[in-house]
Amino acid sequence: MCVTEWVITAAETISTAALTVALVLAIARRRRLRPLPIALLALLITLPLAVALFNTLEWAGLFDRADVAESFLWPLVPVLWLFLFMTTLERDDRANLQTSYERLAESEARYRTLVENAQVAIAATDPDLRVTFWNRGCERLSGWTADEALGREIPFVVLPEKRDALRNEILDPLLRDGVWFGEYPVLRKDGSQFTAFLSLSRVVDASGRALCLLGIVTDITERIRLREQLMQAQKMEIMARLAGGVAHDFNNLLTGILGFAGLLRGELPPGDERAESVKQIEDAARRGTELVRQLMSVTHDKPARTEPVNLNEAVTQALPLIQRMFPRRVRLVTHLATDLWIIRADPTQIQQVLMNLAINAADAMPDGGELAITTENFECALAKTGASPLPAGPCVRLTVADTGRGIPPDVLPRIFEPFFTTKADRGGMGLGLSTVYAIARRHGGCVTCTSQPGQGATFQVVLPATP
Amino acid sequence: MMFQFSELLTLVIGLVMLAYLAYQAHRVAGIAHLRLLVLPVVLTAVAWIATVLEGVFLPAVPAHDLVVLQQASIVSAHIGGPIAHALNLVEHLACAAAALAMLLALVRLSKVRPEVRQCASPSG
Repeated sequence: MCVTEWVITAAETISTAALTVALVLAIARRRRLRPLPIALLALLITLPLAVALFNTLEWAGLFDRADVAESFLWPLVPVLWLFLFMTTLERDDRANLQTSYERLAESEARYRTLVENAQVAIAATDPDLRVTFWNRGCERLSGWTADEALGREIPFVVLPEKRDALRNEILDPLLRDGVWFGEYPVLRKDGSQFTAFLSLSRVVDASGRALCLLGIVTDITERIRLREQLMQAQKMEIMARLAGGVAHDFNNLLTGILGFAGLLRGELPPGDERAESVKQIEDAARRGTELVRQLMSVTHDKPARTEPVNLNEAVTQALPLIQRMFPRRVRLVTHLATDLWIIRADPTQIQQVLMNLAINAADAMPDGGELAITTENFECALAKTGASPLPAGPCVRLTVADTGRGIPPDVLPRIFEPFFTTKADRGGMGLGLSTVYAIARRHGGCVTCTSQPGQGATFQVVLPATP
Repeated sequence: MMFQFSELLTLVIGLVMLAYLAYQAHRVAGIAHLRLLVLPVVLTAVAWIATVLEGVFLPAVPAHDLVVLQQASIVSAHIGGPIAHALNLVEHLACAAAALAMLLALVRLSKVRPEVRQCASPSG
């Protein structure tokens, strides 16, 4: 036997040994080899093992038809390899598909959780407007729970008087353009309503067929209130500037009238009956000067002089005057905070605020009632905005509440406008509350009024406290 | 030339299998544990090719000398010259290497933890 034959014999022996160990290992570790089809693997190892074994036996002289066995067994080896790979890939595909399903389900659950718990309200309907999705934001905003809302037609959150117009106003443009944005009143479960900003979109499939209508709803009631406040503040600013310009020119005219009226009176001989006419001119000019003075107080930008002021003391000093001004039928009540923070203000102008609010309350209670003046500390949480100059931080709040006839809702937004008055027949000039407004703004504060007809009015003046 | 039908059949089926693997290469490449099996496959394929090539260099044997024909692959050194001799050697060595590669693959696969295998699977 030559060296080559010894090498071949050794190779066959190594093959036999290695494949035997591999077969034993595959059977023993079949659980670990689960991704592979074990039966196929075992067969795949067994066939070359058998061939190698037959060859080894033949070289040992124990078997003489290894070639015949080899002829039948060898072609099966690539077939088994092929099956092994195909089956393994098939298993892998199934495993991947399963993993994909699991990941898809996990992703869907994650997004559902995100959308359901979003602060913003998100709802969806089918093309027939039946609610198919209703997140927590919708529940919070509308009061309707998902269980109550799902399956219902969406007009249940639309005001009854707007339901007929819903198709024309929203649905037709939405279906035509694919999107619709705008403000719209929405009905809560408790019957109250709020103004919402709706961002609606039509979700379509690849063929363009509408799958659902998706809506993102934002409560903009507060935003609208701030916007109206800002507009009101801007309007007041413009009117105040206009009034200031007029007052300045008017003051120059009155100075001339008073001056020349004085000269004229001096030139008249004693007992001249024309002196009475000159006096009338002077009186009218003085009333005009007083009016101008009030106008100027509305339009001045800065307080004349500021100093630390205890609002309680200002109220206490004004009380005797206020009490004299009110008829006896009106009861005056004060609730003054004991540890009230100090503000920096012009004391005279603060007195003017108190008097103007008191006069306003007196006019609202001709048949008697109660006037409550309250002072308290107040922590302002809102940041300074265009609508309110009040900075966040410690503030002092002066509340003047009466039990008079109240202010109609259509009048309420205009009460701080200069020259706006409901008492023109009683000599009102419409400068009292606008002066209060101007003084409050001038001191870096603000004034608000809440009122219902027949239930009195409450004015609140908030001024920043000194650190 | 002298071919055995079984050797040719084995090679043809083996080439089909390799073509299938090549066609599925993008999938096979992503499967870590299958990569370990590629080496024995390749070595086995080398053995199949060497066997068939060996037949090319073997002289034609009269049909009646069936015994010699049947044993040609083993006794090629005596009747086929040095090339057939070398190819025969390659065939047997490749088979032995394939067997060892198979054993090595199984040892390594059996040590892979299931979660590691899962991590090694394609991410999508």
